[in-house]
Amino acid sequence: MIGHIDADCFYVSCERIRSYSLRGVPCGVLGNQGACVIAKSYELKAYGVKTGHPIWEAKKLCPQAVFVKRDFRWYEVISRQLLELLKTVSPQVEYYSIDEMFFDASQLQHTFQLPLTAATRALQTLVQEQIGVPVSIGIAPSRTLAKLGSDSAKPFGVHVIEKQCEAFLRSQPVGELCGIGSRSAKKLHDRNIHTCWDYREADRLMIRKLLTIKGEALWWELRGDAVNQIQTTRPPQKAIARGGSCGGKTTDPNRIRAWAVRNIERLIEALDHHRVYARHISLQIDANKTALWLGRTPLAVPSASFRMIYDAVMPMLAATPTNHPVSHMHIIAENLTWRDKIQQSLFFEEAQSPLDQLKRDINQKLGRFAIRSAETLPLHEIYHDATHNYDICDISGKMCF
Amino acid sequence: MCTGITIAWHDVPAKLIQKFQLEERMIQRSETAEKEILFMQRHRRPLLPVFYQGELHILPWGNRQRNSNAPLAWWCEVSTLESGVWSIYHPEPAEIQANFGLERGVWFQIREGIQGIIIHDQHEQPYAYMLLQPSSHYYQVMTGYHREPVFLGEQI
Repeated sequence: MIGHIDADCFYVSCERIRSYSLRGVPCGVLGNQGACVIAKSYELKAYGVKTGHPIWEAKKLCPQAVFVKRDFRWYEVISRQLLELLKTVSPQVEYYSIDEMFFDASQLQHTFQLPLTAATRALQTLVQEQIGVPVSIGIAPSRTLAKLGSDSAKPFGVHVIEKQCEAFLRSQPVGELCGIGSRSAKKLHDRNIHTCWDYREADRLMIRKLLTIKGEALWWELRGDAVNQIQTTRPPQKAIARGGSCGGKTTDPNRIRAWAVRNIERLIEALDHHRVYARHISLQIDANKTALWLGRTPLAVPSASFRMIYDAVMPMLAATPTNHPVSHMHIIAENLTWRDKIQQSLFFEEAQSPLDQLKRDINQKLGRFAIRSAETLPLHEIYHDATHNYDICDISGKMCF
Repeated sequence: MCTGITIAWHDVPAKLIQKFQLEERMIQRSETAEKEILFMQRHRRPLLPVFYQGELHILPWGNRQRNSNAPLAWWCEVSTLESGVWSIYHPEPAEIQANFGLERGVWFQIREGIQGIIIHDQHEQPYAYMLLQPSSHYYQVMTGYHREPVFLGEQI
C-alpha cells in the first residue's frame, strides 16, 4: 500500500504553529511583493478568496482577514520536520513537494499495532502533536489513488481506498487526477469520460493514443496497479529557471537589463547549489503574463560563468520587442550536466572563472548580493530593502514545486 | 499610518478591561478565533495598550486636546524624533502591544509589538505616540501606504 500525506493549508498552518493568535482567524499568506494571496486558511476560503487573488480584492471579500508575510525558510523547517517524522514510520518516503509526501504504508499497521484505518488516524494524530500541522492522508494500492484519497479527505481526514472502489471513483471528476490538466480533461470530456471511473473503464489503447504513456500509467494506477513507484531521491533537473515579476510593468531598458542581470546572478546561485552546468540558456519575457518573447542560445561549453550566461542573455534581450511593457521575466538553464562529468576544453574559458568563485565566496561569507553586478543599480529599492528579497520557495530534494 | 490595532483579550488584565470599559471593543474574527480588543484611532476615545515601566497601561493614543501641551498628533516620525524636535517633551520609549494592525483596510500580523513613545503634558497626563518610518516596498504594496510603524524585532 502507498500513502499520500498532504498538509492542510500548509503555509497558514506553519504560521499558526508560531502564532497562536492566528488560530481560527481567516488568514492569507502574501507572496513576495505583498500583492497576491499565495495561500489561505479554510476560514478565508469560505469567503471566496482564492489563491492568486490580489490583496485589494481579498480584503473586500473578507474585511476581517489577517494577512501574513511569507517566510519560506520557516515553511522549509516544518516541511523537513514532517519528512523526518514520516521516515520514522515508513521505510520509503518521497519528498514530493513542500507539503505533500508519498510513503510506503506497508509497515503502518505493524508500527502502530492497529488496523490500517486506525493506524492512519494514529499517524495523523502523531503529526498534529509533534509537528503541529493538520494533515490529510490517503492510503491506496497506487500513488494516484492515494492522492485522490487524501484530496477527497481534506481537511483533516483520512481515506483508505481498496482496489475495488467504484463508488468513490464515480464521485471523482477526471480533472481531479494529478496529471490531467484542463486541456487533457477537455479531450477526455469529448470522449464522454467525465469521472475517474469512466477513465478506468475506458479503452487502454485509446487513452494511450490520447494522453501518451503518462495517461496510460494513470489508467493502470486507477486499477490499483502501482506503476509509478515511490522515488526516494530526486532525479537531476531538466532545467533550472530564475525570474518572476519585474515589480510592476516597465518599459525602461535600464530596469529591464537590471532585472535580467539580477536573474542571471540568482540562476548562477542555483546552478552552484545543484552542482550543475548549463548547455543552453533561454530567456522568456512576458507582457501582462502573456509570453512576449522567447529566445534560446546554446553555450559554447557547459557553463555557470556569469560572463558566458550574460553574453548569451543580452543579445536575446536586445531582440525583444520594445513596444510592450515587460511584466515578468524568466531565465532558464537547460540541458544541465553534472559538474564532475564534463569534458574539459582546451579552447574555451573555464566553466566558472576565478572571479565567479571569488564573488560566490564573498557572498557566502558576507551575505547574498554583497557583491553584485553594477548593472543591477537601477533596482535600488530591491537591494536596499531587506524585507524585499524576492525569495522563492525552492527547497532542494523535493520532486516538484 | 497604522490606524488600528488589536490585542488578544487574555493579554489584558481584567482590571484594565473593567476600568476602561474595553468589553465594548471586543471583536472576534470567527467563531473559533480568540477574542481581541480593538483600538482604533477613530474611536471617540482613542487608546493604546502600552507596556511601560514594567506593566501594561491603557493610555490615550496621541493628543487631540488643545488645553494640553502634548503635541497634537497621533504618531511621531523616527526622523523627527532623531532630529531632536521632540526632545522638549522628554519622550520616553515604550512598547505598544499588538497582535494585528490595520492600515487602509488591510489587517496584518504584528509579531512582537510596535515601538512608541510616551510624553507627559503639563498635568503629568501621559500620552502614547506610535513611531513611524518610511514603509518598505512590501508594506507599501500590501497596504498602499508610504509609512509604516516601527515594529519590534521585525520589518514587514
